[in-house]
Amino acid sequence: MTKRLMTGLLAASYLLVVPLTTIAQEAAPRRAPEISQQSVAREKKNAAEAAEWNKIPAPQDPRDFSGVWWTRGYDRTFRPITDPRLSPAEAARLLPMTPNEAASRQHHLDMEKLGTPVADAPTQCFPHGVPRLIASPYPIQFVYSPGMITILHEVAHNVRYIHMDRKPAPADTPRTFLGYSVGRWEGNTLVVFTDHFNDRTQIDEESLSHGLKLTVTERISKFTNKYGGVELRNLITIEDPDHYTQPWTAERLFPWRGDIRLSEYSCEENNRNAPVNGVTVAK
Amino acid sequence: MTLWAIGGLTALAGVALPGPLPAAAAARDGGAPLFEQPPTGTPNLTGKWAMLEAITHLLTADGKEPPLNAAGKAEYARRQAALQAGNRKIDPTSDCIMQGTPRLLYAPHPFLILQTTRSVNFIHEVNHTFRIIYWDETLPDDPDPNYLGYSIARFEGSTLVIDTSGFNDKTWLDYSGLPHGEKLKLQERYTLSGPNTINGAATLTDPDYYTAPWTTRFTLNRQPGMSLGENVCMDTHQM
Repeated sequence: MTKRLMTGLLAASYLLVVPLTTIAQEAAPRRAPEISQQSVAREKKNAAEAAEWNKIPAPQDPRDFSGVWWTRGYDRTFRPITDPRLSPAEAARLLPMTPNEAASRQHHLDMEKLGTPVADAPTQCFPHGVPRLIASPYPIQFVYSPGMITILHEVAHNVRYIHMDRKPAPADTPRTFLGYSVGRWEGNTLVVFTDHFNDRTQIDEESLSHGLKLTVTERISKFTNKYGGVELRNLITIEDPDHYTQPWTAERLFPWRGDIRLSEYSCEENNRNAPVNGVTVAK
Repeated sequence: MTLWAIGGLTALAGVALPGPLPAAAAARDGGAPLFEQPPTGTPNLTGKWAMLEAITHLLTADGKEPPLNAAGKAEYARRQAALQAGNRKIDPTSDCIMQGTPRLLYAPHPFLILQTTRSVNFIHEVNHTFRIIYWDETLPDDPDPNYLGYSIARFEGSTLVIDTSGFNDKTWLDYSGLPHGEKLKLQERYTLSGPNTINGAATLTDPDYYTAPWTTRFTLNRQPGMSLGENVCMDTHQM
């Protein structure tokens, strides 16, 4: 969303600059018509895209997410959502970080500037962790079966099991990269609670960390956008008192993609990002 | 659990599981409606399965060695010699790359078969490897080779039939090192022989390494009480 907002702002500033140049060079100002032509083109593109993506239509039942979804673009960060929307930099200032987390985040940013980012779990072909996996720019597929909803991720063949027929994880549940997830329906919203994470993954790709106390609550619901496209909205609430002073909620949208399928993804073959001494170096 | 039993029993009786799920059954599943159902009139293989017998070396259906040709014998002998000399690195799975099919089935880990409206999905615990196989399609003419190949599924009577081609040649067929090339064509056949048992067969056709097509058999057992854990080869280096 923030990325799309940014794209919108860039487009707007482009429109402001380009027509002014045009005015300087030509006698007749044509600024207003160009804006409307641009926005008409954009509307047309969005509508054409929705039609293409609906080639195989999304399931009609509001609780049926089965099929393929693919987030737009590539946003390496999770940020608190606000109303109205803020720029990514402004939203970053709202992150309720503990002093230690703020220092850790700065370390991540510094190491990346040096060209040696701190090694993130996926660079070692480990499962991405949650919510880190939700930010990955690859398609996903929901599969429903008795007592369980399975989410298949193209990226590094990650698999998440959402247990619909179980109570939250018993105390002796092993800690894992993707944690232990239980789900329930609140109306037409799938609420997924995940805990029992290990502490070897990040919150987002850019800079945010978590510890063993992390719990993640996802609220996933389906809606139809104004172009007739269908999307899943995932509101992701992150709680970890060792890293954040209060729970905070980020958002990701996943348009329905009836036009594509998941491909085979091998991270393990010739892993170009394999870290050395805990940092990733460009190869 | 109850649903699996019902699925198995109806499969035995040759009757399809009814399409819409009764409200009571939906409630038992934590309120998750079951939108995805197997195609009408087919047995339901959905559930957790495992191969209880440890098969490390594939034999033909009548218990003989597979019909390796000269190239196949040479490559197999090379791998066997390396393994016997303790060189585990010769096995491609020591680098955690995908086992490929059919070797995935022989890994000592349970897996899910999730049969849905559009596809049948095999989700393996071992290194969280999955196959999404669509019904009644045609295989691509000239696919980019990959580890798991390209698969299509259909029912022949009550037997689930999966045809796969488009493999790369980087995987072994079994733990002992039986080779295959990119021309490999695999047909898997899964038949419920009882509510909790599948009679399986894999027919392999690969002119690069074998003199004739050959078939190997296996049995799968339902494991309703078993949970699939998180198995990460790059972390443990175990497959």
